[in-house]
Amino acid sequence: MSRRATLHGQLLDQAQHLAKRDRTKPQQGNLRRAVSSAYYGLFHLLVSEAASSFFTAKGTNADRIRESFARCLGHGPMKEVCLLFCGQSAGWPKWLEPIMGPAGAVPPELSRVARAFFELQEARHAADYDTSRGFSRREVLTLVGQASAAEKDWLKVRKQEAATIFLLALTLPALNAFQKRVP
Amino acid sequence: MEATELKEERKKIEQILGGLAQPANLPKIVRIEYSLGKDATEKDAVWVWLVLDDATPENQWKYEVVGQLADAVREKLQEGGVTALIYVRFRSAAEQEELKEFVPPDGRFERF
Repeated sequence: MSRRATLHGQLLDQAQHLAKRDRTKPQQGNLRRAVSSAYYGLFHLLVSEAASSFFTAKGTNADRIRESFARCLGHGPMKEVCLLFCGQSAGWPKWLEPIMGPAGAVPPELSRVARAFFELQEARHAADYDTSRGFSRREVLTLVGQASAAEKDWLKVRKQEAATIFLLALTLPALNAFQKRVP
Repeated sequence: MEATELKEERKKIEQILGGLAQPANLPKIVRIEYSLGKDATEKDAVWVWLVLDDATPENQWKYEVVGQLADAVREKLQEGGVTALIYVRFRSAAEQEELKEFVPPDGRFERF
């Protein structure tokens, strides 16, 4: 397993490692944790990008503020934003309409990131709570592959305007919670 | 989703998945299973399991390849008016046999 410095990178590596760990019969525990790690890898990538995009100051206090803010980003609101950015919702909300323009303004890479996020979130939920269905190794490896592909897509698109708007949209629902945390 | 709407959605899904052509130059689908219900955030959702041939070469299992199958199935369902969120998963035929799940799918389409 390669060593990466970032938390999201380590989680994606861990997902790969757990999915391949058992040579013959894969254990459900390892497969389920692999799905969870894949989702959290992508989650922490987006959270860290959002926090560092909008809180750019340096220093210990700034780091603490960034961390505090990152903890305010919620899974449910992030899913809603992702549904918007991959065309799964009926149009843009009013505040995003003038910024995003006509349909089709989302680059395909960003749309794939958004789709991967909500699809992996659903898989993570099943992996952690639903024991009525099993996971197969192939199934898990494709989910882990989707998370890695989303990371590559994000790196391609992160400097584009649509990606900044995406991060802003992820961030806004968290600001209320953040306001309550910071005196 | 109301009961009648659910019935309509199921009818659309069955028609589309039952008549789905094998996408060209992509791994062979030997069986399709689906379940309809609510996802973790209470949204209407359909889970589609594409069961691929055991003879599928290793490099064809990469997400970059099977992801195209997922896109093709999703597009067909959405073009056919399915409004539920679509979650597509992949298994090999041998894995599917081994899993012996407690909950049977809502529908199954064998393909040869």
